[in-house]
Amino acid sequence: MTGTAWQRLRDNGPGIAGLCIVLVFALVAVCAWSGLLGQGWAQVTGGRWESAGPDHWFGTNLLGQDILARTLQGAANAIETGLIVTVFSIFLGAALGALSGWSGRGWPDELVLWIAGVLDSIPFYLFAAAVAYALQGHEWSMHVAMIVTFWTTTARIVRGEVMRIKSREFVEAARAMGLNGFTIVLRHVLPNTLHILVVQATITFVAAIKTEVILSFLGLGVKDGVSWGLMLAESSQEVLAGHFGNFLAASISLFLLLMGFNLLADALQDALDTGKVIR
Amino acid sequence: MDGAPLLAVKDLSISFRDDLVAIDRVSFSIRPGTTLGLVGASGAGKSSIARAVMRLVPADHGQILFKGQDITRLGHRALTAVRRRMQIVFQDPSASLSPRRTVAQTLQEPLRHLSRTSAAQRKRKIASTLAKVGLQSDVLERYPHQFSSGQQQRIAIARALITDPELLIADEAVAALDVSVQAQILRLLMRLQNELGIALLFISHDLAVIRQIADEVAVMYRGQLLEHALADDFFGRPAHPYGKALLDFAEFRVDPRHAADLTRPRHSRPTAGGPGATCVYAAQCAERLPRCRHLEPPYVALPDDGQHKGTPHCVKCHLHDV
Amino acid sequence: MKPVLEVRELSVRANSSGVRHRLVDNVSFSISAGQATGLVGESGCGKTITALAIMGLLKEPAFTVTAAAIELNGRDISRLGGRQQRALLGRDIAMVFQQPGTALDPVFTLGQQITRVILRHRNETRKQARQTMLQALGKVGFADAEAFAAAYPHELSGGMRQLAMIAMATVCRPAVVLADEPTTALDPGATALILQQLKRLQADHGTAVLLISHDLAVIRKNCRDAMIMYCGRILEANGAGALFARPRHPYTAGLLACIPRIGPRRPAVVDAIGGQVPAMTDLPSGCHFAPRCERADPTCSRAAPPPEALGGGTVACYRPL
Repeated sequence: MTGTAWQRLRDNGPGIAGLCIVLVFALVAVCAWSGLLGQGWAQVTGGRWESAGPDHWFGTNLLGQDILARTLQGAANAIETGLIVTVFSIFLGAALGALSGWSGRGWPDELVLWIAGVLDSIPFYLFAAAVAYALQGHEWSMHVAMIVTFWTTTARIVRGEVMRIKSREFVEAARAMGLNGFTIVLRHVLPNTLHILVVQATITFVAAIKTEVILSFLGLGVKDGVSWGLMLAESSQEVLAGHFGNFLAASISLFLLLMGFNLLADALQDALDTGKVIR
Repeated sequence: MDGAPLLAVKDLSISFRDDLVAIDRVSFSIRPGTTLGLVGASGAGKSSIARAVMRLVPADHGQILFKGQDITRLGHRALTAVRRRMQIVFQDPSASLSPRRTVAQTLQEPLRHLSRTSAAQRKRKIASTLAKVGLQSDVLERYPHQFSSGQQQRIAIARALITDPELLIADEAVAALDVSVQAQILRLLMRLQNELGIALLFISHDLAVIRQIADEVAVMYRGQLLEHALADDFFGRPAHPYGKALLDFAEFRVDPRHAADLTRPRHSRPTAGGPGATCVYAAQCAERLPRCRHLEPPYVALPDDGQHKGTPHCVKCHLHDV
Repeated sequence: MKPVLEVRELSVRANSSGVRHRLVDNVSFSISAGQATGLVGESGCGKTITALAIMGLLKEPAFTVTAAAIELNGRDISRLGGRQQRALLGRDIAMVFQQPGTALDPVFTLGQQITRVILRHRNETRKQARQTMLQALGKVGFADAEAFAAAYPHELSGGMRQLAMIAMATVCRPAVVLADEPTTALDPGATALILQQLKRLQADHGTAVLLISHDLAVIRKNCRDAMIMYCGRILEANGAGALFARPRHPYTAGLLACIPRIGPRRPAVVDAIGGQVPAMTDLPSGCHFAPRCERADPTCSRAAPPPEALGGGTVACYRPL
């Protein structure tokens, strides 16, 4: 199953390009986490607004901090945010979506849909602000806000898929064996939604990173570290003074990573789409 | 010849949403080691009976007795003990096998859930069951989609056999298969019945298949059982006009009255019993009597012609009501 | 009498990631007006692909279709451009599909779908088209045409949907109807009715029918001529009566042995054909049936036997029965 999918992915040029870009960024993130790269991001190592040179490959920002180091650290931050939000929201979404779909139009379904509906109706950035306030500016408030709102999309998709799979004969065969609902969903139903979850994960990752940028811009995001969003926020002043280093570094990195993920997501969707078979 | 029945269904009725009656007071029994062929058009209720017997849908009225035990309302725990003795094979093997689980996992599951066996015992059981259905052990690590439909159905049969059931329900088990593969699977089922003494409830709308495999035949129409006889008796001298019509259909002869089944807008099926009920087949019947339209026919046994065959030829029809 | 549909040396190749394999190999046949010709074979043998190729529905680069000729009433339709071909489909040649549940559009009523076909091919106003549509439904046997015209596919049973598909396929009185397993998903009562309907078409409008099925009984009783297909090749072709009374190819005989007659005596255990149909990507060399054939010898695997005239029909076998 994954064999043919991998083959199809390999044949997809843009997809492979996307995968490579993502892997490069992931590698950078790992290096930054383990202390190999981008460590001097908070230190003032040069004069203000130095242009790109041998000491500072991307130059320095307003405070004299090395832009390259900040960019690399920002990559780590982006990947970290993306991972945390994606893993938790996909997990939560799959669980609630499966519960919802399996119970058909029973009360768990109604409840989950109602909660999802309420959450979807709240303007996100207001919600993020509220969460930040409630958690008193805790550094995870941004992640919490995203997880709590992003799960709804996954849940709805999984719900639809579970409802479809529920009536398939292999589920009936499992019921004929006397297996209970929980076991059937876990063992037989959810594994058949993996292809959807993988694609949804890439989409969520992209959404998380973009959202972080805006939140940081608004001051609701990263506070103690550095992220591309923060760099962009800083650069809004710098650009007016004619210094583009910060802005270019952050926006180009952002563009590359998101582009890579989007290409990968499209390619994955094509590769995993089990419906496309010419007999 | 006349042993206690393995499966006995008494006056079973099931209805779905609104008053759509799926099964209307059906009674029949199956003796150990024999095959009952359940025939009828699509929507007659055949699959509903299979699901009712397997306790996949709840019964409204009536009883289901397995080896004398009333399992109609049995709780989950107690039902597990029964489930190992009673298994089902579905029509579409590519749909009835879990696509993301290997054959090994699929075959392990009934053993793990329905019986207490060690890993070593399970391994042996799987190997011997695969041999019984004519598959090699190299199928174990592969996925269902890697097999032909004939092989997939063998895997489904292996899954059903692995807990040593006494009753096997085959719900249109060969309908989705090619003719040559169909023949192979039928031979397999008959051989298994001979070797293991399994009783078979074989559901099909294909009379040619039924003729090969069934010892007894039961005819269903719109949720009711209209005729039940030994296979030779049914195919030799069908008693109910619908039984005769089914044999005609197999020769592509169809009375224009049956076109109504296909060309009238659907209406809800007749509700069960009660005064004012009619014969459910009256509108299409070529041999209809005046009373068929306002009196439900009784279910009677035809007079035994002195051969004492064990299963009487029963029919629900005014024509045979003396 | 000139045949309505004539197919000569039709071949279809599938092009998938560099691998080209033949799905249909040199198929030739013809159907006269008002006649039904049966195409029998098990799943995967290429029957549906043959029909789709005749309709011109298989396109490059996924498929390569080659034919000496595909002639509809003498006119070659194998090399038509897009617009001409679209004018043809539905009006002169139509197809009835196997799964009426998926072939019908679920979001439109029956009436809307049939009317759309009429408006596409005939010069009628909406009002006239509606009348034609109701007539067509009435003709296939729907007692209350208005009620059915207002129904959605999911509200109907399989047999009803298939009748509706026939109405849709024949509303423009095509010269040829390709019926691809029209009764496979139906029970015997509905099957008999659908086949009766096709017979009526042949009699009333002189429609030529290509009836595709894996069910030999269906072909035996409802077609004048029949062809047996296996792995893309026609192994035997003859009049239906002759073919089934006296099969010449071992495969035909094997298939026939798999269906017993229904009679007062229980038939003996059936003689099945051993093995299974080879995958299209891995066809045996020479005669494709040789590995499963009891009469095969080494010459059979060396080169494919050409069709030879025998007993009023043709057989592709070195050692026919």
